[in-house]
Amino acid sequence: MNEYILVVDDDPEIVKAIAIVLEKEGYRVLRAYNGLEALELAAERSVQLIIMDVMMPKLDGLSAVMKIRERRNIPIIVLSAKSEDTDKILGLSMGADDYVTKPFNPQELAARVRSQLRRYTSLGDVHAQERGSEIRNGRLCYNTMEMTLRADGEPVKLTATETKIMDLLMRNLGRIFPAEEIYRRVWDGEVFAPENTVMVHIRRIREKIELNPKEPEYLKVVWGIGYKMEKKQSSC
Amino acid sequence: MVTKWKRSRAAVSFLAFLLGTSLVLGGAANAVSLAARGSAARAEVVDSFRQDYQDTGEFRWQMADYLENFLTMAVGGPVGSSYDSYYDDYGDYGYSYGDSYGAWLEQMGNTGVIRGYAVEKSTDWLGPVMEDWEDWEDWEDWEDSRPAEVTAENQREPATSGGGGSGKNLTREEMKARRDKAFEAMAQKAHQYFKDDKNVLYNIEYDGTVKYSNTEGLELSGPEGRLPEGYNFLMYFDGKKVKIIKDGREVDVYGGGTYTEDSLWYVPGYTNFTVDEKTENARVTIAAAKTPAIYIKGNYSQENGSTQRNRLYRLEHDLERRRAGYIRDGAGFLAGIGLLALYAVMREDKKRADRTVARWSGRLWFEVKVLAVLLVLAAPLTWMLDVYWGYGLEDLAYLIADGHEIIREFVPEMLGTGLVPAIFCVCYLFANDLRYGDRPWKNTLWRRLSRLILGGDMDTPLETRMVRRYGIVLAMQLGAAALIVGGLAAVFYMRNQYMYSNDAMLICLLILLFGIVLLPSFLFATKNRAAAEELGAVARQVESIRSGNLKEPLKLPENADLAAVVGELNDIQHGMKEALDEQTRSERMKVELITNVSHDLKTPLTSIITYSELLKEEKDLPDHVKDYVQILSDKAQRLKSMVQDVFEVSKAASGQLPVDLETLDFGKLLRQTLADMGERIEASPVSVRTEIPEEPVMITADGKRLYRVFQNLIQNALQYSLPGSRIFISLKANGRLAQASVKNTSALEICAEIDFTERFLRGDQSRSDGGSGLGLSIARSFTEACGGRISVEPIADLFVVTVEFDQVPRTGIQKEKIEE
Repeated sequence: MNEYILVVDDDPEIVKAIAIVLEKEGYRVLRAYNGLEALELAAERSVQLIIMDVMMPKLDGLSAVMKIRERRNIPIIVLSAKSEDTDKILGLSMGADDYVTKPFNPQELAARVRSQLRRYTSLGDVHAQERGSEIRNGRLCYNTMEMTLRADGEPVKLTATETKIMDLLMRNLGRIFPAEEIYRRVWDGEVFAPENTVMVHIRRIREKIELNPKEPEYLKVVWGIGYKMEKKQSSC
Repeated sequence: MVTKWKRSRAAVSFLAFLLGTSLVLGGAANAVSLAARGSAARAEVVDSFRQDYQDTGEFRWQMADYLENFLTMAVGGPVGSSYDSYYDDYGDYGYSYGDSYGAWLEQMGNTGVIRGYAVEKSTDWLGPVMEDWEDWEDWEDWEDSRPAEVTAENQREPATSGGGGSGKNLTREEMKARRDKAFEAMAQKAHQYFKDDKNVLYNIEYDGTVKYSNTEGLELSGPEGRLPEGYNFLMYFDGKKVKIIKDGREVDVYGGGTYTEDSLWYVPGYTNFTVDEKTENARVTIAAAKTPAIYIKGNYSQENGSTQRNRLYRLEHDLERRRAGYIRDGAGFLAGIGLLALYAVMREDKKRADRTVARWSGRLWFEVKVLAVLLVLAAPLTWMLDVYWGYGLEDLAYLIADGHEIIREFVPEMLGTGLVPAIFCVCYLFANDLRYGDRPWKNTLWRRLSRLILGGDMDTPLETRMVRRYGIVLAMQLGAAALIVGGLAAVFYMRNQYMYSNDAMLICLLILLFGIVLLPSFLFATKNRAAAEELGAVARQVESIRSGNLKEPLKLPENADLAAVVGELNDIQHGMKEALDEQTRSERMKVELITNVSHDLKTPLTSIITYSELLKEEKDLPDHVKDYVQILSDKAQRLKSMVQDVFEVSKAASGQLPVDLETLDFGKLLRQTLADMGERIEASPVSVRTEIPEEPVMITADGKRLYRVFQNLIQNALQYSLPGSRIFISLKANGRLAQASVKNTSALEICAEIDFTERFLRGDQSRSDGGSGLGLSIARSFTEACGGRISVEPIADLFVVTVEFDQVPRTGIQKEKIEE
């Protein structure tokens, strides 16, 4: 493969660690230690994905992302110690495709890289390929005819019940379903202690579709109300 | 429409109650009064219902009185002597009688029962002869007990004896002749008085000759018992006895033959009621009309003008009136009972009316109401004093001395006056006011006045009150000065009457005095007014500082009374502003510091976690090294969560935690949290019991934060519970408050004095086991950030945490939220 991943962080140890993880996965890594270096290296055609720290000397990560976005459309994953929602939203609106907070789990980072690359390289422009029987939502793609789910283009194996739940949620992106309703529509039976049953299945589905099942991005609990499939921005 | 009907129902029931009770009480009072006044009074009631007026006690008394008068006229005695004192005392009441039932009762009370029928004022004809009569009375005294030389004149006025006044120095014979002549005149006068009333025909004979008669050709014969047309009652005195024929039948006059107080006829002829010898020669025939009519005689040639003497007519008429009165009374009583029955049906409506009436009466000043009650209660007393003595309070001593007599006589009479319903009405309204009114005793004239004068009204600004007070003081000073100067002026003026002094000088002096007294007052008034305004400004400034104005100082002129105070106040304001700024600054710095520190911690932590993960993946490591790596990895994860917790708690503590409030179901949140933690719960050595209602308990909170609260609480419980024990999670809602509680039995003894929600605090004080020590702290911070309340309550080994939220009334909100 001729692909490179650019890792930018002012802490060389972190850059090195990420490089090790990614190289284990089979990627080649370019390293930069501040925003300006990052800008230079990002100009390389072979760079397919950038992992960018926010707080860096000379040029901070978000400014670098904005500059890179002027020229290139490759996936950018932002790394930051700032963990609040407002920081995440800011990062994503600056042009990042994903936002990972420090300290992160190396495996999770690797999974995200994989996901971004797969979507970028193998699927190309996700929005152009919309087909009638398919519902796309971020990494997920659900075929209503075949009742199959793919994450990052790879088929996800779901049980019959899980498929019914996903069918319901994918057809109603963003809508909140109380556990009772999910139970009623999926199990088609008398409602008894639905919360636990539904939750168990939700957890299992998360294991299969989420990059970090502990901090789900798609299958979310709306506390005190119900469950929903998060409707993802079209940009990601 | 409905309210209108309801309102009128309430009004009807209230009026029915008040009127009904008044009528029933009035009727009952009359009945009691009548019963208490004895058998004579009862007989009178019975009499008034008789068809024939001649069947009544009053008629019998009238006829006996006529007979007595006529016999006196026949024999030549002093007519009217037997009852003149009665007429003098009570005759006046004859005219007022019958105006109303109440007045009748009053008259009854005053004149006694037997005398209480209609009488003409019959003493008027006696007037002219009374003067002479007094002489003759004296003369008789003189005749009985004095020597013949002493004349009546002498006896009356010994100092002027022998004055030779005309007609005063008379012999016995002359006196006697004169007396007889006077008696004769009196009899004539009486005849003039009686004769025009054709309701009573009479024929008075003495020694066989007719002395007086008003038959005027009508056929009237006593011995033969003949009566003219229209007359049905005949009374004939034959010299010894009286014969009465009514409707052609002779009446049994004497009964047992002896006169007792119960005898019907007070006429001579009883064995113990005989006549003297002279009277035995008299024959008197009296006839009474079957239906009395009015007779008027125009005596225009005399002073009296037209006269009416219609004793029988009045008698019958008054019987009728009295009967109507009794019937009215009874009807009133019955109507009262009817109204009470109506009230009984509409009882519930009256309660509303009571409140309305209380609201109205609440507007009256309390003093007025108390005064009304006192007046109406004192009315019987004043009435009693007035009736018995007519002099008011000065006879109170006698009243008290004769207490039991008063009670015996007065109470029944008082009951009959109609005062009872009045007392009831006033007292009832007063009691109603006390019961339903809104503290009616607070609405007093006194309060209003004192508020006005002393400015106790807290709504008006301070300076207005003070100025008002100064104004009142000034007005009082003005008044006092005017009084003093006026008084002095009056004194000087009076002196001027006698001694001539300089008027101009006097006026100057007075004006000077007036000025001296008042000038300081006027001078200080403006100064006081300014001070009052300053004080008001200071008060407002204090209030505005309290409500957060720390920027604008109060500016007063430098020579103001309160300039120094205001200066100090401004200093305080400035100091507060600085302190507040300082606090805000330091708070912000603290948060910034913690944020920075937590960020700075995260960067090395990232390396630690990443490399420990890489280490874990290294193969061919010895087992003990794998253990070390695992420990490193675990602790690194713990450090990660602690850093995150510290960051969040410090943010929450400084009020900078963003919350996204929404309406959610508390019960569902608890169930979701439990389901979410299902694996951890199953893995723990304790079990969970829940008591969460199925129906929604809606509250307003940030779902994610509240989830963290319960996640922490349950995590805590799982971690610190005695193995094998149970954790109780319950939710209770009463419509206003929703209370969730987590109870667990602690494995370690709980130190009760500790505030468990303090940051970094744990029950065992050691830091060796898992957890950041921030669980409860986060729970408290997040709960409070969402607007809830949290309390930790250790009871022995039981650890109870209660989270409380205000419940949201169920509406369509949560529905919309779900459909979204």
